[in-house]
Amino acid sequence: MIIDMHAHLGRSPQFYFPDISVERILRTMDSLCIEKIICSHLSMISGDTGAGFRESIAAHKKSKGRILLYTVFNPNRKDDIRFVKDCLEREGFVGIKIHPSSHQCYGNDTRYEPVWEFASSHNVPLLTHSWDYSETNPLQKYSFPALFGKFISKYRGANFILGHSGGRYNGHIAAAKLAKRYENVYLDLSGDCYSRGLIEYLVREAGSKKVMFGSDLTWIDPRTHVGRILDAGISIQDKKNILRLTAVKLFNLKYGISKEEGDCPR
Amino acid sequence: MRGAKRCGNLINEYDSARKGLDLFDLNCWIGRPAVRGFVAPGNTSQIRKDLIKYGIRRAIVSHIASMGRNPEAGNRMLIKEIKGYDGFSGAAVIVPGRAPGAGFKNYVNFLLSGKIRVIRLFPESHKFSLTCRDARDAFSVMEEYRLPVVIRQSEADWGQIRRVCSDYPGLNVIIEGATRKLFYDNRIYYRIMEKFRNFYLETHGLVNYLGIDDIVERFGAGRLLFGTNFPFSDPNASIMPVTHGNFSAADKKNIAHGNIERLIRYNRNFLFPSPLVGEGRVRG
Repeated sequence: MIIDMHAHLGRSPQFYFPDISVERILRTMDSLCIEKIICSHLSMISGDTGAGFRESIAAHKKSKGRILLYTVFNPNRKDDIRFVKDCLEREGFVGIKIHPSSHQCYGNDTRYEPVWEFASSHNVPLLTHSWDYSETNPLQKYSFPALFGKFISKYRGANFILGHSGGRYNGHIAAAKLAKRYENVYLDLSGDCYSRGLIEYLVREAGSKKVMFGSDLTWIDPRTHVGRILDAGISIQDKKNILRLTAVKLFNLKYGISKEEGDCPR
Repeated sequence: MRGAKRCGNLINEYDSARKGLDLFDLNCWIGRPAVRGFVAPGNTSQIRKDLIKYGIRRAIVSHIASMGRNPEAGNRMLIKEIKGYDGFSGAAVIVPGRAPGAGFKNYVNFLLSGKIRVIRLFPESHKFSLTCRDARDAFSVMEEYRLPVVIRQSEADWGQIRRVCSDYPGLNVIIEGATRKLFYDNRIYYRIMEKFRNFYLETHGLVNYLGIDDIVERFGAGRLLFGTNFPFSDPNASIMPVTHGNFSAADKKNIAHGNIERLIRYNRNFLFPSPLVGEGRVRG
């Protein structure tokens, strides 16, 4: 079965979200053989930390552990690392998310130092939003992959995931370079990034043990990603690594049903 | 190996569902792109072969030169390129007021005789307004000939699109997304869909969670036309939301090919129909 390691709970005011209920998310997961999904709540990213936290805990419980959680570190809040520590002591939280574009703080800003230090010393995966420079969304400049190089090289013990693998063409190239160069850098396929040949390129550059399936649900539909991974011009073993095995290892997930892929509910 | 078998099952199930849909792509491009990608697109023959691998046997194709360099020259290249391919029809790019020769109607007849079945407009890139006199004259002719128009959303104002739908109820208006995905404007296009039956969406930009399912539930499957943005985008991103959609098999087939066949009066045995003047119009 599949692990979706980059998803969300909640909604954003930017557009209409048809159905973000836990029940619907679980039905979607069942229909695609997704065993577990790791989510950051959109309210936690946008600043309503309390509401996002409560809804995250509730979703984890309601899903009987199939929905796992990221806590969010906001570099603009002085003592936010304490919140991160508190979350990670609770059941269900398995990683930390940072979002330089939403928080308008460049990926190389020293305000991220505490979270890198924490991720490194506690062996907690650190996921970031990463993107290319964009004409339509100038805030993406905060998240260009190369910006993270300074911390990646300093904190070799921190497992760092470049979410969306850099978002668009030049971002993808920069993200793949980092994943190729540093052992502790991983990539995910989430977001509305559908360039033809992208999966094959990332696997060629970084290896399938460095690439993971993420959907960006509740924002993006997971079906837009699962189909292209299944059909990609890579080996079956590469597909298994992307769809499950790399995430199981990185997040130290307990095997839910079976060691390899488990039983699909369909 | 157990794991490999399970992964293989998923692959086979998806491949079989894909082949069963007889996909007809509304948004395919030929020609040499100006920007770099991970895969070089290849020539028309290669594009045709690649599409078939994805289960896409028919496509409406535009030429990159028609958009980025010279619409009329690009359209001529397009007509020449698609001539030998049964599965390909064309989408010509026009700039209203620039029709060569003896006026737009003659130009449309020329395009129709070259297997052009759809018109594409890029108002922002080609610097014209959808409400200018030349555009209005063009819409009247397209309405008369029942020639659908595709407008890229980032190239036009929604208010103008709405006005075109209102002023030309017999003109089928199809909106496609591009780099900025279409779904970000779903609050706006839901209202237009409610109001105008001649308003359609091409699917490759509808990638938001449950985006296509929600449109089918609210408005029916008849307003969606399958498209991929091939060869720039991976067609699978557009295919699986249809093969694994939460709607009926009939709805899936309509999105995959039935709706576009209806709009362009596609007929496998008769690729060069006369202009369908005076037929019943869709009322808004």
